[in-house]
Amino acid sequence: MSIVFGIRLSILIFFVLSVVNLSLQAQEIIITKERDLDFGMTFAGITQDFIIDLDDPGSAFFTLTGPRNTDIFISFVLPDQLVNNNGTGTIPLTFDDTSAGWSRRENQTPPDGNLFDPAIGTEATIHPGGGGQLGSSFVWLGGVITIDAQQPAGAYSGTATIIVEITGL
Amino acid sequence: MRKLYVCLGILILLICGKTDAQVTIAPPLVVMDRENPYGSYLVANRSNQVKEVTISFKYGYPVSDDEGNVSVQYIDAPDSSHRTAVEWVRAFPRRFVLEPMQEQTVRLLVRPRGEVQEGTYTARIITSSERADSEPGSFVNNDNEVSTRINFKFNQVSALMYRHGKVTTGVEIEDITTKHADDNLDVYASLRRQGNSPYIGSARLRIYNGENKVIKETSQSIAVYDEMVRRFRFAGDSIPPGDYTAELTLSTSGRSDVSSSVLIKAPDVTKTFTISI
Repeated sequence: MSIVFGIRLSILIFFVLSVVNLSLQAQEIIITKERDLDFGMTFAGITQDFIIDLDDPGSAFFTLTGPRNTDIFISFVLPDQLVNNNGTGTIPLTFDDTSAGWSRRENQTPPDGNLFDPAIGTEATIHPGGGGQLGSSFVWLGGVITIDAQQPAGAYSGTATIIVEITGL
Repeated sequence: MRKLYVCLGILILLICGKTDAQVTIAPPLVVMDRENPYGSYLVANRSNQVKEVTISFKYGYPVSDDEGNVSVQYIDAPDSSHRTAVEWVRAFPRRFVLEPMQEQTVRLLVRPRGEVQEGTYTARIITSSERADSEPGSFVNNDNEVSTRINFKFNQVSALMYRHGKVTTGVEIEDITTKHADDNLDVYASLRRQGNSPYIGSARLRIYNGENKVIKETSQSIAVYDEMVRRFRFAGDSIPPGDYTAELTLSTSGRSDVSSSVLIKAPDVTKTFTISI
């Protein structure tokens, strides 16, 4: 192994360790969207409510990762309608006080006590996990859209915001 | 050699680059003062998507109800009783695009206006991020079909504190009550901030048996801006019936998420009380 190769390898290893270290030392909550809120596709001309519950595969699903046992507050800013991209119509979008939930376990539907109104928000805690400095908790979001019989066909969209903050600061 | 670089590059992405992860920010608390009104924090894109990031400020702080449920109260037009730094702070840059694995240092500058009393002035930093390519209408649908899509923005909120003059903090434990409900033992501590700055620290509650041995212990981070009720919950069936001594200690140390060098120090506060189950 040449000296030049050794120096290059050392620099590279230092860089890798620095990046990993920075990632682990970032004392902040990392939000990861694992799944979109998906109401599926339907044919126009049919009046129907499309309800997405938290345990539905169409519910939005997020992972929150951060320092273990960190107390956080989670809330959403949500649109009350989706707008046709052509500007020719809207679809009402509604949420209630059980449209969101959080859990300490990824494969567990949020228990009743952890359901919340997404517009109001809730306290949550980053689960300690199996050790180490970082843990995770999980958030689900459902909702209801109402398609009218005269609904123009098309692609409808809106923007929602998930807000996460540490309550100990 | 090239293969080695490629392998290590893949390793970095595997470790740090979650596909749909949003940006990370650090540190979660930026502190400035009259002598050094400049601060900064790092925004890093650990995903493999291009992110558009926007920085803004609001005035708000953690509050609680009587049951110890904590939320964050935002005040759009704070009166003179609130020590807000929102109108004084500027961020550079305020809007930028981050390529995958790219970082951006955001510089902060606080310029107080008017007559400023001693104390700590605060703001919440809203770091908002979204996919740069998430344009409404980029998805398609077939004729006679209705398709929907919701784009998500991510707001990560951190804290900014500007200290002017001599700053002090402390906390008083005004009252402690206990309640048994839903098979849980809840301990409520009513806290009131002392001094002219928020109390940022930790709370540790220990329950001792008759032999003075700790049988239960819990701790949590606290931020007391004015007054607050904090709730400590234990599973009721985990403590046998009997009389116990409990000890609540509040300290400005014990925080793993904030550098101790930026916290205002205050003496520990301890209150001892009895619990009957």
